[in-house]
Amino acid sequence: MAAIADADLGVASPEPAPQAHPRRRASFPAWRWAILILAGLYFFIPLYAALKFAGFKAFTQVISQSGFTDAFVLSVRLAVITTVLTLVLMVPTTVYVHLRLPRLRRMLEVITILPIVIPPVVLIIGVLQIAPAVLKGTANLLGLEYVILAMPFAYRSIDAGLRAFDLKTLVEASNSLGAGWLITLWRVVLPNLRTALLSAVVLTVALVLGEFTMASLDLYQTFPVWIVNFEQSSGPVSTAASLLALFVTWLFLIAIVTMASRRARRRGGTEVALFTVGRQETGDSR
Amino acid sequence: MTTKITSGHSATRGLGGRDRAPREVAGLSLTLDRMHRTFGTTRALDGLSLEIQPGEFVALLGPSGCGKTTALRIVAGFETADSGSVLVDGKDVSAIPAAKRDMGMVFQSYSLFPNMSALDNVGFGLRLRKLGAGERSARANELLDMVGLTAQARQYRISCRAASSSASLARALAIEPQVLLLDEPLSALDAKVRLQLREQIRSLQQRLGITTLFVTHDQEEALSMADRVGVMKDGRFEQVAVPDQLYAEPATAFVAEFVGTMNRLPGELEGTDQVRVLDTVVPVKHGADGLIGGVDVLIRPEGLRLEAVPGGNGIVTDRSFLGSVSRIGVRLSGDVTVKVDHPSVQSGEFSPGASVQVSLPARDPVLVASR
Repeated sequence: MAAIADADLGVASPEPAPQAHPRRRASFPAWRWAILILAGLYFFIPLYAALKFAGFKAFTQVISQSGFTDAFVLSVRLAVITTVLTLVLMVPTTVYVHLRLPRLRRMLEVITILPIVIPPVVLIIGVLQIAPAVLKGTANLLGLEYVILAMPFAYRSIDAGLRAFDLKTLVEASNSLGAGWLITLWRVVLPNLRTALLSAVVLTVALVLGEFTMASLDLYQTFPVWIVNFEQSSGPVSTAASLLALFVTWLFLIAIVTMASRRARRRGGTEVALFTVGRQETGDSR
Repeated sequence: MTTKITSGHSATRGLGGRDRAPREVAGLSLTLDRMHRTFGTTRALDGLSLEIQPGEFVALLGPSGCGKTTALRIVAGFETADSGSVLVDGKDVSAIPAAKRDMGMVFQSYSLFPNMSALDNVGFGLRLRKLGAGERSARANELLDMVGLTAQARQYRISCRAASSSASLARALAIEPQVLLLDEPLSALDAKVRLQLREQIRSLQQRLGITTLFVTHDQEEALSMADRVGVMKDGRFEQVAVPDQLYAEPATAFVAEFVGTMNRLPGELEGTDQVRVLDTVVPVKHGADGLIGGVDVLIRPEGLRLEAVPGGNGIVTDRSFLGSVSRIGVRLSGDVTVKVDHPSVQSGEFSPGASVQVSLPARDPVLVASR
């Protein structure tokens, strides 16, 4: 879970597009700077302390440690599985509910918040009791569990994205021009959901790369689990590893966002802002 | 605009591979056959039937909730009727999904795909019909030219509502639809632009000879654009007629009062074919069936005569200038108010407070039960 907060710090502190708001930058009041600096200190002092404690030498040692590569690859694999499954399940479901069963939206909201309300420990014990034996032996089970954990974030992003445009009219327009459901989803709905999907992907990836409880109880050596296990043998190297994990997550997220913004700009669309849920909700006229 | 007509023609003929006769003679008939639709306890359509001739422009007019939009959406394939059917060129299309009905639709709200330029929006339907990129963009450009949007072809997210409506129209026409459906496409526009677009839609429709069903709650729009207007109430037609007839010979009291301005005057039936109103006895052609005694007489503002007379039967309450005529409000005895149209050049003497005589030339008024 900690990774989500980190991801927020890394990507959401948006460098305001320099050309876009020159005037606003000029009138940036002093108290805002103060808050920015205080918040910055709050986040960066621990990072700096960790960096200092680990020392640069530890970083070079991390990669050669036993189990590091396996743990890292497993985490990335889980991130990919979880993201793909989450999108494949959540996008059509949410679109369908918006179009055909708008009354179920409230219910879906409640259902999707459950994974946050129910502690992971409870979830994992339930899963271990009912999961079929075929799945129990593989790490894919963990991927399925992460899909459930990611559901609240993915749903909220996609839901907000769908409310930001007139889904019904666009879908009907596309239909009337001769497009079936798949083409409509692919050419009309998904392109207009880009920002929302991006935000869902970023949140899901950050969640998977940082999740500890479930992986640990499931006895899988994901990257966070490896860090904790390794800490017992070498403090500085483990600290270096967790910093590395943090940077890798940031790099991931920044790469995703940059890719999306470039695409958006090429198409003449607006800049991709990651966490625009609030703005989209107030922009909702219905 | 006249120079563009030829380009419009060749555009409609040239849709790749499909050998269709030129549009001018190719409009298809559209039939709505006894359509019923109920939403919960609300009866949206109650046995609605309508025959639209090839190339005809028919408007569905009515207050909100009268079922006109439901009817249009059933024709488009976005809703299904509980019973009844939709026929295009005599063939039942009720079971065909919206995507395969080949109907162009222009929506009330902003419906351009924000992720595409205006050109790609117009080309979208052509792309689905497997037209090559070159031909597609040539056709799309032609259509944008036809609606006067050449300059905005490369633009994404057209914010001007009029331009986006025009682009939607071009997009709907691009696929050479069998039927054009318009769902209040002008309602979000301001008055002047609305007038221009009204003319644009009408002239394109006539030029292409495309069978069109238009839904509106704005009577002026319906009367000025359509060949025939169907006035709807509670899911059924009150009257389907050409605009002149609808105005001059309303079939029901609802049509009489919904279309145009109508005065309601108390009257007294004398026999079955005469009515006494404003101290005059006038003949009644229709509408007297089943009524006896006290009735209400419906008369248009231009059907009343006004004279400035001291001690007349009414007092002028207000006057509004409408151009060539002025509409003068008069309070009669019994607290009945009427509106009377009078040529503006002769209306100077009818200032508020003036005493006037309102009279009724002998014509056939519509009678309804008094309320």
